[in-house]
Amino acid sequence: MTLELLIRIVPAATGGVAWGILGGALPGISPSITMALLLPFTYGMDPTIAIVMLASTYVGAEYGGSIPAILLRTPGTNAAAATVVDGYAMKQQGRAGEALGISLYSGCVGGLFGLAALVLLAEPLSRIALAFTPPAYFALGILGLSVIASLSQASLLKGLIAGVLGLMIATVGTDPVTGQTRFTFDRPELLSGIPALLVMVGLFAVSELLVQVTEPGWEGATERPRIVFPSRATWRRIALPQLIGSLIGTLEGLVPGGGGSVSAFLSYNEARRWSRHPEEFGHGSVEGVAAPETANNTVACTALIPMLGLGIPGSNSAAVLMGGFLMHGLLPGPMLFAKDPNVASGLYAGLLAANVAMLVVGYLIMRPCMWLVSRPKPYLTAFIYALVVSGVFAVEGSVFHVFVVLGFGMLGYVLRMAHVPVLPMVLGVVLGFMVESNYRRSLVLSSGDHMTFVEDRLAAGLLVAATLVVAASLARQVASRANRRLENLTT
Amino acid sequence: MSLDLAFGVAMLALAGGYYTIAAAIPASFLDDVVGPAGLPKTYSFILAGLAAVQVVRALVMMRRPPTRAVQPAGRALGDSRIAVTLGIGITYGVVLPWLGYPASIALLLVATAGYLAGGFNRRIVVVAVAGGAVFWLVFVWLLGIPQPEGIWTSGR
Repeated sequence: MTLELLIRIVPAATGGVAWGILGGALPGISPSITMALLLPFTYGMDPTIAIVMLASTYVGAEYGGSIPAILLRTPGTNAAAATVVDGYAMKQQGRAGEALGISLYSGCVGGLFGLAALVLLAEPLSRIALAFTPPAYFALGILGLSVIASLSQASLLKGLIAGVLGLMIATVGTDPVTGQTRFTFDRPELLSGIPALLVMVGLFAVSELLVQVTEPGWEGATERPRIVFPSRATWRRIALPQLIGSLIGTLEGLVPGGGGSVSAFLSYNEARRWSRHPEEFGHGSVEGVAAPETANNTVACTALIPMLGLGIPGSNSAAVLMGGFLMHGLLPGPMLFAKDPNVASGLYAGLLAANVAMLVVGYLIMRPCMWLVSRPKPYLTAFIYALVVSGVFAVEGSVFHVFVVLGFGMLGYVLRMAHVPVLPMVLGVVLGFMVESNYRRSLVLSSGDHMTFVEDRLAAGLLVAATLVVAASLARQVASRANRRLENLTT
Repeated sequence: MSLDLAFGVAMLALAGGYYTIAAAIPASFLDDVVGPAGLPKTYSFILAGLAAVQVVRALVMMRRPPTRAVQPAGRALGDSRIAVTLGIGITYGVVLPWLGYPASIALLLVATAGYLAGGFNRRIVVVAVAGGAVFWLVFVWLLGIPQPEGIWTSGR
C-alpha cells in the first residue's frame, strides 16, 4: 500500500464515520440504509477508498445509534436498544455527558478488538459461520431469550408476559415456511411483519414523551449536561464489561444474520452477572452502557469476517458493503487477499482510522447534541416527536407505520404504569422470527424429529448455555429475595 | 380493580383473542409439522397461563394491607395531555399525504410546542417553520429519503 493511498484513507474514513454517526443517530435510518445512501456517491472513487468509506459508515452508524438512545430514550439502531436502559437512566441523573463518553470510549475499544479479530482470525473464524445450521440458529435465539429472566427487574412474571407479547408481535406477517399470512388483517403494510425498530421507538421514545408531557412544572429549560470522560476508576470498572462485550460481539459477528442486537443484550446480561454492583443495572450503571456498546461496535468489524473469509455477507450492512465490492469489480472472499491485497490491507487500515476518527468526530458532536437536548422542554419534546415520525416514515415510506408507532407508544405508556418491563418484549420481537423460522426449518429437515436439536453439537451447546443463564438468573433472584426477607426480619 | 388485576385480565382477554385468530388460520397442503398456527397457539396458551397467575396474585395482593403507596396510574392514564399529544401525531399522519412533508412537520412542531408551552406566540411559529426546513434538508435533501410532497406538486 502506498503512502499516498494511506493519506487518502484517513479523510475517507473520517467522512464515512461522520456520515454513519448522522444516519445511526436518526431513528429509522439503519446502518445498512446509511451505507446504501452513500453507495452511489462512491461509484467514481478509487475502489479502496470507496470500500473504506462504506465500512467506516458502518462503524460510525453503530456508535451513532447510542446517541439518541442515551439522550432521548430512542434507540437509533436495533443494536442500541440495550443501551437505552442505563444510558437514559444516567441522563436522567444529569450524567448524560458521562454516558456519552463511556459509549464513545467503549465503542472505540469494541471496534479495535473487532478489527484485531478480523485481521488475525478472518480465515479460521469464518469457518464457524458454516457450522451454523437451522438448529444452531434456533438455539442461538433461545439463548438470547434466556436473558428475559434477567431483564425482568422486580417482576419475573410480568417480564415473562412481556416476552411472550414480543414473540406474538413477531408472528405478524407472512409465515416463514408456508408463506401463509398471519394477523395481517388484510393490511398490505403488515405482510412483511412489524419492524422491530417501530416497536422499540414506540415503546421507548413515544412512551417517554407521554410520560414527560404528564409531568408537572416542566415548561422551563432542562439542565445543561457537561461532557465527562471516564475517570481512571471508571476505566477500571468498565474493563471487564468491555471484555465481555468484545468476546460476545466477536462470536455474534461470525453468525450470518446476527446483527448486533443479540450480542448487546447478552453482553448486558453477562456484565450484570459478573458485576460487583449488579443492583445498579437499570438505574444508571456505567457497566450497563459499556457492555452493549462495546459489543455492537465489535460486531461492526467481525460481521465482515464471513464476507472476507467466505464471501458470505453476515448482515444487511455487510451485504451493502459486498455490493460496494462488486460495484468496483472486486470479489470478496478468500481470493481477495491474493488478487487485491491492497484493497484488503486498505480496508484494515481504514477500519483502524475509522475507530480513531470515531473518537474525534464523536467528541466534536457531543457538545451540539447536548446543547440540543438542553432546550426548553416544549421545543425539545416537539423536535423529538418530529424526529420520531420522520424517521419512522423513512423505514418503508408508510404513514401506517406512524400510526403503529403511536399505538406502541400508548402500549408502552400503559405497561410502564403497570410496572411491566418492556425490554423483554423488545427481545421477543427481535428474536421471535429467528426462533420460529429456524425451529420449523429444523423440523422440516429432520422430518419432525426434535432430537435434531440435541444431535447438532453447536445447537446442544447453545441450549445448555441458555439453561445455565436462566438457572443463574433465577438463583440470583431467589438469593436476592431471601436477603431482603432477612433484612426485613432483622430491622 | 387494581392495575395489576386489570393487566392480568387484559392479558387473558388478549390470549383468548389471539388464539381465536390463530385457530382461524387456514390449513394448507404446504403446511409443515408445526404449521403457521402452531407457535401462535402455543404462545397464546403460555400467555393465558401467565396471565391467570397474574390475576390470582393480584387478587391475593388486594386482600393484603397495602405495603406501599398506590401510584396514581389511573389518573395518569386519563390525562388529557396524553390524548392531545397522540392526537397531534395521528393528525400528522392523516394530513401528511395532502400537505406534504415540510408543511406537515412544521405544523406538528408548532402544535406540539404551542400546546405544551400553554400558548402560541411568534417565536414558536418561527422555530417550527425553521425546524420544518431543517428536517426537510436533513431527510430529503441530504439523505435523499423520499417524503410526501402533497398538493404542492399535483399541478406538475
